[in-house]
Amino acid sequence: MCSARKRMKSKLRIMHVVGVLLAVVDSGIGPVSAADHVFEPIPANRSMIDEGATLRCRLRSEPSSFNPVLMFTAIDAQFDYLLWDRPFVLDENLKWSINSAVVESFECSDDHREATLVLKSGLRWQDDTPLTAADIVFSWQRILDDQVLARKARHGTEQVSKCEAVNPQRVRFIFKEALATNQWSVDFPIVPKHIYEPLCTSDPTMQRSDASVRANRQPIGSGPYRVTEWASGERIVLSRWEGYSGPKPAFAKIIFKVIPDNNAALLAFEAGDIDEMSLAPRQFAEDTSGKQFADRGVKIRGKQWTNYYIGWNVAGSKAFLSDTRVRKALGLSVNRPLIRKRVFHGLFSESRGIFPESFTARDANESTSVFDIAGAAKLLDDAGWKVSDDDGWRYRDGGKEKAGFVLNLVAGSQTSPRVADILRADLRKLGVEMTTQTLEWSVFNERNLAHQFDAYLSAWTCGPDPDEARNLFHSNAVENGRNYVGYLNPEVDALFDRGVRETDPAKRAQIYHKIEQLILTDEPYTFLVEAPTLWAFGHRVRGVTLSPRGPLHAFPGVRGWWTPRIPQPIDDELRTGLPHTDAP
Amino acid sequence: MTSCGLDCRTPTPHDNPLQHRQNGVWHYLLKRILLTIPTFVGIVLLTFVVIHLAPGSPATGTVGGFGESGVSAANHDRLREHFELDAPVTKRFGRWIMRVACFDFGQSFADGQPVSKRIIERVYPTLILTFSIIVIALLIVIPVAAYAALNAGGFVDKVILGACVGLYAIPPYVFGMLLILVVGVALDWFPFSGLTSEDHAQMNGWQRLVDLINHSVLIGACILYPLVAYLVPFVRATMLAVLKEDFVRAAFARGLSRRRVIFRHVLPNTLRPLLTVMGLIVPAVLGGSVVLEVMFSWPGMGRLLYESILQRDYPVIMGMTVLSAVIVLGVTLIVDVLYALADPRVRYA
Amino acid sequence: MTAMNHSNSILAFDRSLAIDERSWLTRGALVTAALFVSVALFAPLLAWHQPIVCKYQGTYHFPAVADTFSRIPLVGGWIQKSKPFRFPSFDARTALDSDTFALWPPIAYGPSEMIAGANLPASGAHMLGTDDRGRDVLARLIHGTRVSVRVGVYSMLLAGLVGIIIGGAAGFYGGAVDWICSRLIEIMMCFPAFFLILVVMVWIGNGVTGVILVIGLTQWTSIARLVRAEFISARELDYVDAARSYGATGSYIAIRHLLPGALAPTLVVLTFGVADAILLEAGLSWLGLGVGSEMATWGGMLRDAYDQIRTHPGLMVAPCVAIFLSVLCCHIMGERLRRSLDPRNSYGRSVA
Repeated sequence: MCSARKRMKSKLRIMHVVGVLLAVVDSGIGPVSAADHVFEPIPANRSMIDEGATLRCRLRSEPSSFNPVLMFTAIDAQFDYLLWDRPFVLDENLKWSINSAVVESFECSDDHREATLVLKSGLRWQDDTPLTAADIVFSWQRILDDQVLARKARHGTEQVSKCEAVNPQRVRFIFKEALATNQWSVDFPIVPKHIYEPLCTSDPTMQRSDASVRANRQPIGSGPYRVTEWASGERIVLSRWEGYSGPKPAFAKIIFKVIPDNNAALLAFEAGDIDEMSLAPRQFAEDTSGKQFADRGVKIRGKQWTNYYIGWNVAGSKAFLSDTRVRKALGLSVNRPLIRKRVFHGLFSESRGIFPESFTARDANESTSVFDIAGAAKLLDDAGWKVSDDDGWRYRDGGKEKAGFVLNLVAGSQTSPRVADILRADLRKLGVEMTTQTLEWSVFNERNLAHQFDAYLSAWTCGPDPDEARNLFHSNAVENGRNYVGYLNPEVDALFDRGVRETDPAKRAQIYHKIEQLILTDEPYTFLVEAPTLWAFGHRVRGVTLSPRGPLHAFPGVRGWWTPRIPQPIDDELRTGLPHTDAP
Repeated sequence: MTSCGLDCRTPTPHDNPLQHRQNGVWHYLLKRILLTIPTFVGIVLLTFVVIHLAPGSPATGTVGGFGESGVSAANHDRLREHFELDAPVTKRFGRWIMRVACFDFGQSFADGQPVSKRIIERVYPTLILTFSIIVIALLIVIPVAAYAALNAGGFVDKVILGACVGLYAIPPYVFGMLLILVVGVALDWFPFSGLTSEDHAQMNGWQRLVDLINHSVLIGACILYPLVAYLVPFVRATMLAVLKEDFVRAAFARGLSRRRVIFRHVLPNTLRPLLTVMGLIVPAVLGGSVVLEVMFSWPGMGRLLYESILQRDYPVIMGMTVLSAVIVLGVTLIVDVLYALADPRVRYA
Repeated sequence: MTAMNHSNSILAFDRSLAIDERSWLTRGALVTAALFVSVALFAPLLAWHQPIVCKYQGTYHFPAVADTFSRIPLVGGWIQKSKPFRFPSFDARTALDSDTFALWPPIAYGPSEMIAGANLPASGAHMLGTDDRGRDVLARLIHGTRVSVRVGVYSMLLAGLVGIIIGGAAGFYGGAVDWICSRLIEIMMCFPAFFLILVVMVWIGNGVTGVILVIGLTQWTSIARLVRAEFISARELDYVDAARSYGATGSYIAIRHLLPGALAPTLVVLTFGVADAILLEAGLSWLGLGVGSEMATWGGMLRDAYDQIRTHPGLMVAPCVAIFLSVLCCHIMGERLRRSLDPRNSYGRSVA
């Protein structure tokens, strides 16, 4: 009976394998996989779960800090939800939601100017000190303290003009303005007041004194895990805190192994040293198609809100790029289908816009990208960049100014030089000379911040709220954000300012749709492809959720992962895609 | 960066001790020690100036991740203030010197840890690996080279030399990848990732040692083979030259046994040039190899320096510079002193 | 970065391995080196996306020939490709119809041409197959030779120049100059070269020039030390004293009498240095800081192949063999040079 069920299951899986192949061909989106067992949610019956198991994760590099106020890298964020509890979390769809393990109730006033949060009673820090409203107020003060380098946490929290503890369970927030984004503004991290307040008297930065550093590296958190080992350059070990009052996570131990190289990580995965890793497109398409990998795990592809783009320096010294017609022409000469196929192994889809579908009222059939060299040539001719009879390159109005630009790339990326090679070849046909400059990350950023570049190739992951795009497109962000290209459009500015105040979701979507259209018309950026999440999981891992930021950076994330108690025997005949568990 | 004298005319890195024999060996030593001071200051000063003038800064090196939505001029200014980037280089150097004078190398920009702690964690593995590799290399090189020299021109000699050239011309990362794929994955003899097993802390002393050795075998082999490939022909040639010297001929002529001549006369005179070479090789090996350490996820010094440079972690970079300068100058000094002491013309002056 | 820099060959052969003019080893090395250099010089005649000779619209054109010679420094400026062929948008493959006369290079593909399917196996059209971007591996290997030879030769010329100036000044003037130069050499030997790489890469850009500068500016120390030692020992010799007594000026003595003696051993070190420069270029490419992706280099090919080592391990072979052979060649030739210049090269058979 049991075996018959397994047989059926395996048939289903084989169908899924076919599904994946089809999906790769037609670039279907959504969690497609050969193995639904990975997504099986944590069962209510705890006896099915192996609660003593150890999970092994891969870390690309080491985190900078475990103090959530100071955290700012994607690596840091992997630890955020494991070590710390927050009243509000990003769920698997990156929607703002209330963490029921912490919050009794949350109410926002009708005028969006005020909110009240009631904490559950009996919340504790990992040293058994009660977690109260005072901790929240303290954290808010620290984040807004100019001496604290709260790079990420400060974003949004600045909108909270007042945060006060009404009683130990109840906090009242008062906002500067009635904004649609106010609910994000109350989602800031909470640190233990009783630990940091004494430290802050001598070290208000929270990271200068030895005591602060120790507190940041061995934090007293509020989440279900605590740090028990940190071997420099090698691994970080988290162990379950049994006193946690919320839902108990399945793994007793999580070992994060530092493996910087992608090829080495995949070998470690196949050797069973790690249970999960993100895959490069090539690894997903080619390296993992063998038996070696299939014996060890499955690969998953899911939608991600990441777009690869080229930013054109609109306001720079190059007259060539300041002309909208020229940028349009450059956009038309991007051979997205070839880039998809050659660079991203058909796994990425062509970029369709700047926002994810759910944020805008975009028509699902709307196509944004066309490859049209002849059209591009005509646009360039119209703009006065004519092909010279002498050497075949384009010059402005027959003068000396040659049509061309330098594309900045980040050193170490395997994909961006490949994208650049394809673009360069097509632009040559057009008589436009593109050269590339590979810059190391720090220098790449420095050039961007100083607006000293012609064009750069980069990727952008959309935040959970469309208003975060203000940082790329609003004129305020030219000097004070990431609008490195110097894009100025008063209409876009006005729409952003309207969008952030509009509380009706449908009307908001209309506004962002309009913004998107305006930006695609002006083309300060040329969007290339949309990158999916590509991930490998060991056969024993269950309970994974894929958020538009990948499986790790949303709630419950790793907290919801589990592994079954009884190792399932492998039937050789049914091996394909059948989950099996390693000996615990 | 090594330079070694097969050619006897190539001088030792510093003044020829022979010039000082009138004043005795102690005078020479003193002068030799004093000479390292300006070099040390020069290294530190030059590194400080270059890293601070090099493009990029810690404020831009750490932009990225999901914190990007928080990129703002205000944040950037606060970062610059935090990393003390606005002060002129001279002032920053002054501050740094004052701190170092009290043996405080500051805090790492990357994770806030004291620089000394961060470096020491990484120095141990590298130091141990380097010295064990050098010992192993010598244990391999001397007998092999001696055999080749004593049978010069023979088939085995040619095979040894051919193998050395062949090995030397293979880039270490190609060799490393092959090792991982063959020995690490296919044969599964040794782990190829990290320095310790995850249950290292629960092991007893002996098991820990075995664990460390297990994890260092593959990366060690990758560092070892170019060293051996380089040293064998060198020692062989030195020994051939010694074998031709008059005193060796004389020793043979006196009817001393072959074994006695080789061990008492040939080997000691072969090892002296080797000492000079080792003095130059040790620092090169100690610096670690970024490529290999990344490939083997091995927590060594090379990776730390590379990561620190990418993040513009000035305090760690400077700490590593001071440390490596001390080691390089220290080793050269020791080699020179040993050389001077071993040279009878200096010793009996 | 990858290997240590050696001022001496690991091929310290003695007479027993007979590296003299007549030995097959020397001859082989010379022939291989000549082959590498001519491949580097005439790369477009061997692999190019335009024909060597062709008849187009009634006139004869020599596009690949023009491309070969237009890259020679100084002379190159005078040579210009004929008209439609120098247009970036002109595609000779489609423009020339099959019945017009056209002599194509043996490999009718450019090194960066993404023309064929990706990862094709070796075949008649692509003798070593294609890489993941659909570029002909053999064409890349041929044009990579060009970059490697350039990097090797020019960077060592630069290193030789810097080394001779600094080492020569130290050895010739002695005293305070020697003291300063010696400290400079020591400092440079301990200085983390990676910063220099970053600084040069950002200021010059990561092209061949950048790589040449980086290698040249970090590898001069051993040459400087050698030249200094040569100058010091030659300074005291009788013929220099004699020249001085004639009233010869300092710079005359340095250039006429001291330099020639130092040049010979420097040349030997430089020959070995070429091998190290080739390995260093590969190391830089591995870290993504080498010559950009638009140019084919052996190191870059190796880096690209590393990513595919599991699915297409064969891609590693070509650049590996090229690097291997060139390093071997440099060492054999250097050793040959060293022995012919060394007055004490009369190694006898060992007595034992």
